[in-house]
Amino acid sequence: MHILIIEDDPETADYLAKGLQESGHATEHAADGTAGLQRARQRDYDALIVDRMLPGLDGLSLLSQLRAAGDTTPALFLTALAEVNDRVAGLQTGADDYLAKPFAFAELLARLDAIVRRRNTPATDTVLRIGDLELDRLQRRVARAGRAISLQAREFRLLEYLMQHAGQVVTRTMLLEQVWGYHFDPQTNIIDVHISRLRAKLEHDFETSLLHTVRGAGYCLREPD
Amino acid sequence: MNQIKLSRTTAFRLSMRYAGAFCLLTVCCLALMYWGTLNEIRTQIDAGLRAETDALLRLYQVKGAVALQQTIAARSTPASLAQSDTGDSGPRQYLLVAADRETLAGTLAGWPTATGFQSGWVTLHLAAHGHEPGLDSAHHYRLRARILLLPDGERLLVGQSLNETDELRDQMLILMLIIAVLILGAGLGGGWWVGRSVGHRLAQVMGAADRIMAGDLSQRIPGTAQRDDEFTLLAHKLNAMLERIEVLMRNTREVTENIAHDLRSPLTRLRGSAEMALLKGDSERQRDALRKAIEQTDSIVATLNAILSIAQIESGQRRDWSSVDMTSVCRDAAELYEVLAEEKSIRFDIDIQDTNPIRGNRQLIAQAIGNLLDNAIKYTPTSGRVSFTLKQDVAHVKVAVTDTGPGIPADMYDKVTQRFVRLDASRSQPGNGLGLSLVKAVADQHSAFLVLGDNHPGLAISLSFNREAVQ
Repeated sequence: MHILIIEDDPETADYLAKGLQESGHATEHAADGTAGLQRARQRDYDALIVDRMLPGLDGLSLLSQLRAAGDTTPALFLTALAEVNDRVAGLQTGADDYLAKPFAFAELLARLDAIVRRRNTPATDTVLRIGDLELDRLQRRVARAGRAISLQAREFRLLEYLMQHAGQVVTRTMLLEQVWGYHFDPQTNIIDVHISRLRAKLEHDFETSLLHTVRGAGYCLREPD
Repeated sequence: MNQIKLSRTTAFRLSMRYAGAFCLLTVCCLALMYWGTLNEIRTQIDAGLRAETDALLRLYQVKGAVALQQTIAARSTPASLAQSDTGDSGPRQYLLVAADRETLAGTLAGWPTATGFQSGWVTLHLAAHGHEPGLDSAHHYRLRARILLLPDGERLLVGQSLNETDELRDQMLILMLIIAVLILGAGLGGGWWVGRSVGHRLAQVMGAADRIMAGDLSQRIPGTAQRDDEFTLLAHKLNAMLERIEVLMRNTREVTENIAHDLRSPLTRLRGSAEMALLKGDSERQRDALRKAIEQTDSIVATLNAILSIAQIESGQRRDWSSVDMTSVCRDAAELYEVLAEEKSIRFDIDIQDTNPIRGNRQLIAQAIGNLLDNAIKYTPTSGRVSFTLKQDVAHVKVAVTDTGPGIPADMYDKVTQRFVRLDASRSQPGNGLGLSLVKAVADQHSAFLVLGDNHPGLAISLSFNREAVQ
């Protein structure tokens, strides 16, 4: 992916660029809002990483100007202000996601991946399939190798989200936000417990594993090799 | 420095203004009364004089000049005058002169020089000769008189002294002066007294303000216990404001102190891990040290976030306020935490009833309830029991969580809702000690009651929210 980083702190920008490059992405950097807006208008990027507080033009104004001009490039807001209110303001301006500093790099990668793929593949399929696992969104049924698996409502939502993001790393906070609607950290391994129960239901009596734990990052549902 | 010059106080100036206005009004009233009375007396005097002269004229017309002269002479004897002296104004004065101005009869010495010789009404200024009966006290007096020109050329003058009205005028003037002095004096005194007592109360407020500005935030404005006047109410309001300011200041100070205190140990450990990683050549152990360093950083960030969000909630701003369906919030929380209880083989009794909505911030309420459940499950031993209920009565929606853990001693109930207080000093359980402080902050922000109690054994906590008013 080709990513534009709009960040005024040189060390953070450097850290972002290096990390993204190591993960196989190409990056460009703009050190203030005005330059960032210019760059974003000149080229077509796969994603923007925008700091909320920027000299010249702040992140919110920058993004609202881009969106007003019809630019729909996926954008991820970075901020030091971890308040719900700022989150809401950011998302209303047209940001696709919002991440508070400091963050785990795995979290950034997972969220970036999610917002870019969300744009590319509109989730309209009524039946999702990963290997021999099948989820019917209309019938609300799940089956593996033709054998029905009974899931509770929340487990169904959890699996649905994982299948929509199959092959991607999904972090615990993403699951909390998207599946439970919680925008705070319960500070327990609660998501791990829910995942391990879901995994037990999905993989009971099966040789191959579908739901993988990605160490230091989160989970990934993918087809067996 | 808080003493205001009395004459500059609002109370004093207002009092003086009122006294002045009152004084003016009173004087006007008295003047009106005076003029009214004076007119009445004049009218009466004139009527008396008219009747008397008319009677004398008839006598003259019927009986002739000699009879008139005799009658007037008879009326001018001291005995007769004393008899006709009816009041303060003294006896009537008579004078009958011939056409050549020679006095024929009467009480006056002679025809007044300044007076014309025509019929009509006059007011004369006369010098008293001492022999005018009843008038010996005055050197000068005014005489209201009617003059009649008789057919044979004689002039008849009948008069009445205006002493009474003049005395009335003098008395009125003195009365007005006395009243003005009294009112102004009362106004001055009242103004001084009101100004002084108000000034005294204000000086107390300003004194308290000075001491607060000097750094003593515990200062309060003294109120008057026995009276519920506006100053006591003002003092109450100001004191409530000071209370709030003090709490906020204390919070700010505590947050700062707590950040410094609670972040010192994880920062020390972080620094230690980094240093060890540098010293050790073994790359596997370096990796391990770095991983630990990241964990420490995350825990520091989590603690910081918790402190900041508590501080933000405590600042009292009501952000993202809406109608919150407690039933769904509790069902979600129960479903999220149920698995955690099952993992520990804890019996998790859920009794969530349908309740009315409440007003609040859904995320914060969910977080508070999550913290209660998290704590209950964390501190309850394996095979213990945790219950989670949602009920409502007429006024409240009540969330209650009980556990069979070690519980909290009753004398610690207040303490545990303060920041960073954890009962296990060793900090063997994970967490930053901010869980209950957040619950308390959310409860306060929502005007909800947080009640801790004994579950025999274990802890029973309830949060009672006010039901949303039905629109």
